[in-house]
Amino acid sequence: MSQEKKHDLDDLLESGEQTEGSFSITMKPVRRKQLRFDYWTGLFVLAGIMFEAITGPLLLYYYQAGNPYGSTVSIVQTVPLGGIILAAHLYMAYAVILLLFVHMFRNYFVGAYRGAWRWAQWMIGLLLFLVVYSIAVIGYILPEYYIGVDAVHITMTLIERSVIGRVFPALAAFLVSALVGNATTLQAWQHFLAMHAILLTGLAFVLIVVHFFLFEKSGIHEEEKTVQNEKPVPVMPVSMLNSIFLASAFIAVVLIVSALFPQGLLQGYGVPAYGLLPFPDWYLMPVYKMMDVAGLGLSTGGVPFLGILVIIAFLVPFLDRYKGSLPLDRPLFTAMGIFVILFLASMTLWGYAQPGLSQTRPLTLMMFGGMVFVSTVSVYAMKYARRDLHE
Amino acid sequence: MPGGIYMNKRILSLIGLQFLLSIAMWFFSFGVNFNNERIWLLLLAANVIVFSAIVYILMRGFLVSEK
Repeated sequence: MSQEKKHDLDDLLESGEQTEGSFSITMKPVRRKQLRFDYWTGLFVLAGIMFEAITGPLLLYYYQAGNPYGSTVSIVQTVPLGGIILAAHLYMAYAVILLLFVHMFRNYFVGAYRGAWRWAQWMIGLLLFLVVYSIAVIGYILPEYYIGVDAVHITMTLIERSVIGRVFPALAAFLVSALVGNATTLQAWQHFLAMHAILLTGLAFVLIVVHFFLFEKSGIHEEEKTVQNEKPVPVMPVSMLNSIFLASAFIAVVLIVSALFPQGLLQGYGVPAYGLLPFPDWYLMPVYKMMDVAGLGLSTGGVPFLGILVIIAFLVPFLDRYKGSLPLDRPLFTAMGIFVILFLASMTLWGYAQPGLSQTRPLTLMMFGGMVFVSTVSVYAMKYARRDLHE
Repeated sequence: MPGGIYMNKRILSLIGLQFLLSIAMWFFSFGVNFNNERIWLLLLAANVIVFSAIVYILMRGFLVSEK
């Protein structure tokens, strides 16, 4: 047994010097206990994005911006394996968005945004979240399904009638023309394709590199005392193999889901789809339902409400001044996190139950007041219950 | 034997299973239509699962040898 034998990388990390032919960036070794899969939520997101980056160009081979719906039909029906690649691309996008939420809330509740460089990692992560969300939304516009085209119309309305359009009409006009060009199918979908496949994806790639670099700088977020004395395992090969194992198992699960529940073609935009009630994809449902809420509608309240939510999320590392890092040591921020989860869940369910039905202002106030009450009271109750238990 | 991680029987048999699954995928790729595309995808998923199992066994092996 070689207790004394150290791994090559350990020398490199301890001395902090570069040996000849090595890069100055080395991957941080992790502790044995940190090989748990819930420490690697970001890895799953990264694996999903890499999967999308492989299947996307394959779809690009047969996709035509001038004939979006027709080329989607031909990909599904005539291109060998086209249907399953499209289905896997779609399901992996759903998985990525779901895991983005898991990743974000997990790191929010454990307070991983606090630390020398972690605040930057948190803010870049939020930026990435918005970029990936935009990529996903543009992705569902690309096949020219009726829900996608409705989303375009809603986005244009949103730009023109919200605060942007009212205060800076020229900026709104520029944004609309950047989105759809001269509004012909060819030009609009060429723009969507450029944004989905190159512009936003390239931006996401740059942000991912910075996000990952900051992760390597800070290492895995952990309560220091629990792992201080433990011997690290080296990145090569153990942590790397662990990552490959987790990523490939995750990809296999998504492949099985897309084989068992293949996505059929939806109704294309046009006369046959006239009168269909547009249901957005599940991840857009909370935003969609916000527009129905009276007094908090699209143009007046909904956009500012979501905007304030995002701004607060960006500033969380600077607002959080609690000493402890456990969720109940930071009761206000834990309550805020639970409020956002309740908000997303209830708006999604409400959106599916009553799409497009305007809500009265008292009902809205009662609902939001109820969510604030439940989240705050439950967290503070748990905090004081824990204190009483320890006394 | 700690650190006995290299070509052991389990990994070899899993690689054999991957070989069989790949042959099955090749077989199903003749005249692909929408019905057997799903079988093909399930076979691919099985292949990926076997791959992840091999990686897991290797990882555990290295973890034991690190102790």
